[in-house]
Amino acid sequence: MKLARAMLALSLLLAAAPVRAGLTVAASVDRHEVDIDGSVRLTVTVSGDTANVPEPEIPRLDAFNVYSSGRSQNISFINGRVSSSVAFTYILEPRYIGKAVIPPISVFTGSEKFMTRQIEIQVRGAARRPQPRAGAQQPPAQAPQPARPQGQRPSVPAGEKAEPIFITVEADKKSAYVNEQVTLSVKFFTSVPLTSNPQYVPPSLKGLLAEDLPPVRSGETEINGTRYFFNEIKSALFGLQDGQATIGEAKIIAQLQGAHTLDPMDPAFFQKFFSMSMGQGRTHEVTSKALPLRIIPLPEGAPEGFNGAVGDYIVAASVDRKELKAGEALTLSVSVSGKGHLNTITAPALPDTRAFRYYDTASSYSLTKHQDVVGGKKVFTTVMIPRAEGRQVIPPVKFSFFNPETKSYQTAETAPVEVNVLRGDPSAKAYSFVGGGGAGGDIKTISSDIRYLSRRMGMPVPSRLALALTQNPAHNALPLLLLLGALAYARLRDGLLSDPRRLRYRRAFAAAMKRRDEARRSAEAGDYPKAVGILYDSLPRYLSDKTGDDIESFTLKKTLDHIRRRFPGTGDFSLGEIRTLWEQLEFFHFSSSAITKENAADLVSKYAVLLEILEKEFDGK
Amino acid sequence: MKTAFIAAFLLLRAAPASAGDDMRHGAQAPVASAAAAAVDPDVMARAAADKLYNDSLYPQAASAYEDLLRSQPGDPYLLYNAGNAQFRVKRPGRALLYYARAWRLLPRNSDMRYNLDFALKSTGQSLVPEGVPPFLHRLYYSASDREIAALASLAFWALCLLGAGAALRPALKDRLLPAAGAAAGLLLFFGAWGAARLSAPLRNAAVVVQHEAVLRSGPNETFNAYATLPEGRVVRILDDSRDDFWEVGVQKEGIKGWITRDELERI
Repeated sequence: MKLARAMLALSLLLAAAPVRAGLTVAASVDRHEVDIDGSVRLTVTVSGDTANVPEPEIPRLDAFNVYSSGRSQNISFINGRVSSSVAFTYILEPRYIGKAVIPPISVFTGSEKFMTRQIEIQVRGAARRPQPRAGAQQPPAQAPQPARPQGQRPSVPAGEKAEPIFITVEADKKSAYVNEQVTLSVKFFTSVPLTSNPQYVPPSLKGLLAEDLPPVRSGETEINGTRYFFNEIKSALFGLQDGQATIGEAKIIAQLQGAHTLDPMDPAFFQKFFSMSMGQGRTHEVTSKALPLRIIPLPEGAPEGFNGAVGDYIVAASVDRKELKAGEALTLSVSVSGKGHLNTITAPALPDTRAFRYYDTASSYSLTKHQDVVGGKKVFTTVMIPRAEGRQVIPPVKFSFFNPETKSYQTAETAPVEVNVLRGDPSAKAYSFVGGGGAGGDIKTISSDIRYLSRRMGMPVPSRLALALTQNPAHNALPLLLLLGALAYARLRDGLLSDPRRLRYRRAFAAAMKRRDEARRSAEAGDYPKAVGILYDSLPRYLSDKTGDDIESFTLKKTLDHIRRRFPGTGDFSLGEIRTLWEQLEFFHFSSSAITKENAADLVSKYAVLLEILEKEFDGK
Repeated sequence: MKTAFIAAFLLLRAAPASAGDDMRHGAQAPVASAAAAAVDPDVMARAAADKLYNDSLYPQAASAYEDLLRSQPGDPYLLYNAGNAQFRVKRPGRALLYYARAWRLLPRNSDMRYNLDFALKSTGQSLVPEGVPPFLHRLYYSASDREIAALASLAFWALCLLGAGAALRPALKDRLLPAAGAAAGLLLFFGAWGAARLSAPLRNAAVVVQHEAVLRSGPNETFNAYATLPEGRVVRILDDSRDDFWEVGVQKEGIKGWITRDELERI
C-alpha cells in the first residue's frame, strides 16, 4: 500500500515537473556538395534522458526551401531510467548556386537551449544529363510520379493561351473524413528562364494540419503547344474537425531573367536554366486560387475504446523480458503501426487485470511518408509490476480505428503475452523509479505536459467581490463628497471657535429673539414684570454681543456713543429707537405696578422690530 | 491633501475595465450545485466538453469550449480548459490566448500559471522575464488587476470615512487620524501597484493566432514584409485604431511593424 502511494505520488510528480533533462543535439547532412537541382537530407538527432524530447527549431534558411521528411524515435526504459533519441529529417532544396550555410539549429527544453554546429553546403550548377528530344513524349525528370486522379496535365483550358509562369493547386479529394489524409499537389510551371530556384510560400490552412511530402518533383510537359518545366510540391493534409476547411493561396516568388529568353528545346536548357545567377532578373509572384475542402464527420457506431484514430493500423505487444522476479518491473511496449496521422493517436486502454500494476506510460513515434502516404509507428511503453508469482498473462490490448478506405470501424488487438514471475528476494528493496536504485534518491523527470482540466466553474468569491466593488467607479464619489462636506463643516466650526467675539456676534440675534419669545410667553401668561425684566436684561446683552463690550455696565449715553463708534453706519432713527426702548424698559422695570398688558405687548413688539433693524444696519457696517 | 484625494479618485475612475467587462457575465455564472447541475444547460455543455477532452477528442473538445465561451467569456476555468484543448490540437496561439486571459483573471491559480508558462516556453517565450526571481514575479502577480482596483477602492473609502470622522468628531481625532494615514498609505500602495501593472507584458498585448503572421513596414500589403512571426508569439499593441492592420512591437527582437488584424487576438 505504501509502495503504491509512493508510486502514485511519483507518477504525479513526473507528470507535473518541467523538462530539465540533459539533451544532446547533433545535425548532419548526407552531402556537403549538391547540384542546384538536387537536394540535401538534413538529420537533426535529439537524444536525452526524457521520453518527450522537444522538436528542433529550424532557423530561416534563405538559401534553401525546407521540407520536413519525417521523424524516427527510439525510447527505452531501463531500471526506471528513460532515454530516447529522435531523428528529425528534412529535405533541403537549394535555391542559389554558391556557398550556402545552415546556421546552428536550436532545441529549447523550456529552460535551456541546445545548439548544433553550423554546416556549410556548396551548391553547384546543374549536372549535364540527357535532354529530351523535341516533340518526343517526355518522361518525368526525376522520381516517378504517383498516380493522381487529375492526371499530369494542369487545368489550362484548350485554346487559351497559357501564361509563361503559373501555379496550380490540386487535392486528391474534394471531401475527407476528420483525420483522413488528403494529398495536396502544388505545381509551378514555367516556360521562361529563371535566375534562381523559386521561393515557395505554402498555402495558409483553415481547419487543417499539414505534413510535407518531400522531395520536390520536377519534370517537363507540354501545354497548348508550349513546353513547360515544372516543380511539384506535395503535402498531406488532415482535417481537424468536420465542416468546411480551406486551403488558402499558395505563392511562388521567382526571379525571371531580364530580356533574355531561354528555349526549353535548347539541348543546354538545364545548364542555362540552373546557371542563372541572382540579381540578373526581376521578381515575379504567382498565386494560386484558394481551394475548399469538405471535412466529413466520422459515422455513428464507434466501438468502445475508439479515440478518434483514422487510418489503417495493426497493433502488436511485446515485453522487455519474459521472466522476472516478483517486485521487479517489466516494460510492456504496445506498437500501433500503419497508415494515418499517428500524431493524433492516443494510448490504447490497457486491459484491466489483477495480475499487474501499471505505472507511467511514455510514447514515441516514427513518422514515414512512403509513396506520399503519411504513416509510421507509435509505441506506447508502460512500466508494469506483477502482483503475484507464477505464470502471468497480459491480456490482448485492443485498438479501434476508423478505416476511410472501407468506411468502417475496425478493432485490432495484440496477442496475449505470457511472463514467468519467479519468487522475489525477500531482502530486496522494492522497485524504484529513481536513479541510484535506492530510497532517498532524486525524482527524475521523464516528461512534461500541461496540467489537467479544471472542473470548477464561474468566478471565485474574491473575484466576485472585486467585481462588485469596482463595477461602477462612480461609487467612489460618495465617500469623497462626505469627506469634503465634513472638512467644510469642520473648517467653519473651527473658525468660529477660534474667534469667540465673532461667535458671539453671529449668535446675538438668535439669542435675543429667543429671549423675546420668552418675554412674550411671560406677557401672555400675565406675568408682565417678568416679561419686562427679560427684555430689560436682553437689550444690553444683545448690544454687548454685537459690540463685544460689556454694555450692561454702560450708561445709555455711553452705550449710544459706543454703538455710533463701533457701527458708524447706524442711523439716527435706530439710535433714537434704542434710546426710547431703553428708557421705557428702565421705567417699567422700576415701576412694575404701572405695567399693563398692552404695555408689555408693545414692548415685546418694539423690541423685535428694533432687533430686525439693528441686525441689518450692523451687518451693513 | 485635497489634491491627493482627487488624484486618487481620478486614478480609480481610470482603473482598467477590460477584464471586468469580460468578467461581468462570469459573475452571474452558475455556482455548481447538485440541483442546479441537473438542469443548467451550461453545466451540462461544460461536462460534455470535458468528456470530449477526456476521450482525447481534442478538436471536438476545442470546438465545444469555443461554443461555451461565446456565452461565458469571463469564466476563467472555462478559458483555461479551452486553452488545454487548443494546446492539444497544436494551436499554440489560441492556447496562449485563453491561458493568458484566464491567468489575468486568476493570477494565483497555480495550474493557470503553469500552463501559461508551459505554452509560452513551448513557443520560445517566458512568463517570468529574464533576471526576475520567480518568487518576486509570483508576488507581483498575487492579485488580479480587478482585485488591486478593489483594494485601492476600499482604501479610498476607508481614508474618506476616517477623515470625515476625524473632521466631525474632534474628540476622536487622535485615534482616527493614524488610521486614516494608514489608509492613505494603502491607497498609494495599491494605486502604484495598479499603475505599474498597466505596463505588464500581457497588458495591451495580442497573440499571433494564425500559422504565421507577416510583419510589414506599413499598414497595407504594398509595404515590405520584413519578418514573420510564428503562431503563439505575444506582441504589444502599439496602434489598434485601424480595422485591417494593427501596429505591434516585438519586445524580444526589438522590432515593430504592422500585422493584419485577422492574424492577431487581443489578450
